[in-house]
Amino acid sequence: MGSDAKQLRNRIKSVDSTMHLTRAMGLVASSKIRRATEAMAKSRRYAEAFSRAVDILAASNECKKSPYLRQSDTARTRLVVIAGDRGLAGGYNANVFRMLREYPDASVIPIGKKACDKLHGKLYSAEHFTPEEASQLARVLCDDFAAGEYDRLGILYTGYVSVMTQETKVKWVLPLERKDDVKGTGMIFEPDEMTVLGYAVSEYVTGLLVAAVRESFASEVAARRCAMDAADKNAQIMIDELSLAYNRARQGAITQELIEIVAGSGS
Amino acid sequence: MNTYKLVIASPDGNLYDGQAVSLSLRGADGDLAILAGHIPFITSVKPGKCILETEDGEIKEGRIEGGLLTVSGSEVILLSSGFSW
Repeated sequence: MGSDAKQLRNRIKSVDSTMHLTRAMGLVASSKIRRATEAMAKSRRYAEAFSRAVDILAASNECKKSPYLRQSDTARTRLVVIAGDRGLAGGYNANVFRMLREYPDASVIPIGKKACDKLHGKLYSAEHFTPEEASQLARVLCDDFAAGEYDRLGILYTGYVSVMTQETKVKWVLPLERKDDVKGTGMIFEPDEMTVLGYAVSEYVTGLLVAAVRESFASEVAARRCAMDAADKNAQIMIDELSLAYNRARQGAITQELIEIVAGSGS
Repeated sequence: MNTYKLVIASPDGNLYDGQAVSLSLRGADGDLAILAGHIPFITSVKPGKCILETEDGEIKEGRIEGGLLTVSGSEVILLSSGFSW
């Protein structure tokens, strides 16, 4: 047998072991999907309920003067960028960083190891992001906003549409928007609007951060599962092609040997 | 007994979602209880005990780490970053 066949055999072996790896990663990801989507649904409900309460607050007349409703002409942007802890999730991390390029002037707070490595921020894990971390971060963000250090706050995250589809987007959090259809009149506030709003905003930002991180994580595992499924399929196709070439080379070598033997005995 | 719709939500999900008779807790200006037909009302909630009487007369007691209570015409929402029964 020629060296050709040996080379092919080694290629097949290496593709096969890669396939084992991608299959294992795909299984790990799919086992995490359910837990991740459940956590996402819970925190999303919380954030939605909170945004209803904040809408009512923002609509009340007393809160007009609140620093959280300050609209300004300059747009010094601060972005919380949420990427994954690990790679090998298809275009998941790349899509986040591509979208980030649309905001070159923004000051950035990264969450997720990949983002923290790339953007040199304090390390926050996306998988193990705790509500305590979120609440600390939210307090800093709200205080800085109230002090006028930046003009708008966004969260750049990956929305979970389905296992097959995820969508990178920016959610603008601050300043709060006044919605015309929400009526805040006739409400009693205790102790007063400004205090309640001040408290509610930092809790609201905390809730949104937790919800966004959990949704991004669900997107990450879903993206990884799809990527690993695709890798698995490609590896299988590659093995099939290589086996065909290997068998051909093997058969060719046998035929060659037979011809040589027959030619030798004939002379 | 008159009841109202109560939702207690935390980042770990809805801890209560159903009809309630009364809910007592500590608001920003002191202890308060919410019964059916309360006027629209918003307050921040101080850490402390939270006592809930459900539709079937069961009394549930929980600990709240602080949060926001919103009473609107249709429902009462208690939002808390930390709540446990």
